[in-house]
Amino acid sequence: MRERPALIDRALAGELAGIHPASFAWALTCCGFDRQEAEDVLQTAYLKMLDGRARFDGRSSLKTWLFAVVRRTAVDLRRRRWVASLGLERLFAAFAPASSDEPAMESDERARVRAALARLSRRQREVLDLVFYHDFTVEEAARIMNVSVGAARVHYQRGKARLRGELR
Amino acid sequence: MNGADDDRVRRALEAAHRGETPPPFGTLLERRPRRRARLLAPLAFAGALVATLLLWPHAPPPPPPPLELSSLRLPSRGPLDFLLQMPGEAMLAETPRFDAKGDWP
Repeated sequence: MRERPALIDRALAGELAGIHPASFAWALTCCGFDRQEAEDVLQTAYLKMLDGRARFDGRSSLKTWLFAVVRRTAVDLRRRRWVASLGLERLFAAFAPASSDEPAMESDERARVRAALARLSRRQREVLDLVFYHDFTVEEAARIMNVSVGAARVHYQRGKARLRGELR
Repeated sequence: MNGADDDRVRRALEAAHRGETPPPFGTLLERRPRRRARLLAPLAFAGALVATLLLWPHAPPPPPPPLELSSLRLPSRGPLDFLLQMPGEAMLAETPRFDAKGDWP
């Protein structure tokens, strides 16, 4: 593990703390609603920013930049996990007990929507989450997702149509 | 696609995120990353398995027992072996004996 910097940018840390709930929700989306993975991704992203491995250039809002770093970190983690686990982790997860400490009705509805979202492509899921849950514009979503605005619009339209079909 | 559809998508995404409370910011920064250990576990397991298989103390196989010369002799009887049998072979194989009266036995 990398050495934690002794002196962190306190102003930046304060700003990150201010948008922490939204960042966590976005990390959850990037990690397929895997809470543990989302926590790891978000922690890694924060540390990247605070120790200067990811630098804010001021060309977008802090939130847009943070979301882009979180997304890139999640993609990297997923790639590393694929190489490292070679399917063994899924085997272990299959035997892990499922947690069920939530009201059944809420859990059912949430599970249904998450299952529907899981059937969308990753980019469709991302653009819908950014636009409808985090209130970004499609242009901002495109910047976060590192795709052209045209491509983001296509993912947005197709994702909406497909989610509507999945939830029918 | 109209506004009603957009509202439906918005409600669906809110439902997907409902009930997920983020861990405290400070706690998240200070905690040890858990996933990395979980990622390494299958790798470590596979590595240990391979190392065990490679380094397993294989005993050398026991040497084959020495061959007895007699075991190499194969009993065989050819179809023309009778040509090699001489008449009166039994008589020639032993020393002639004479009884007390001087007659052939």
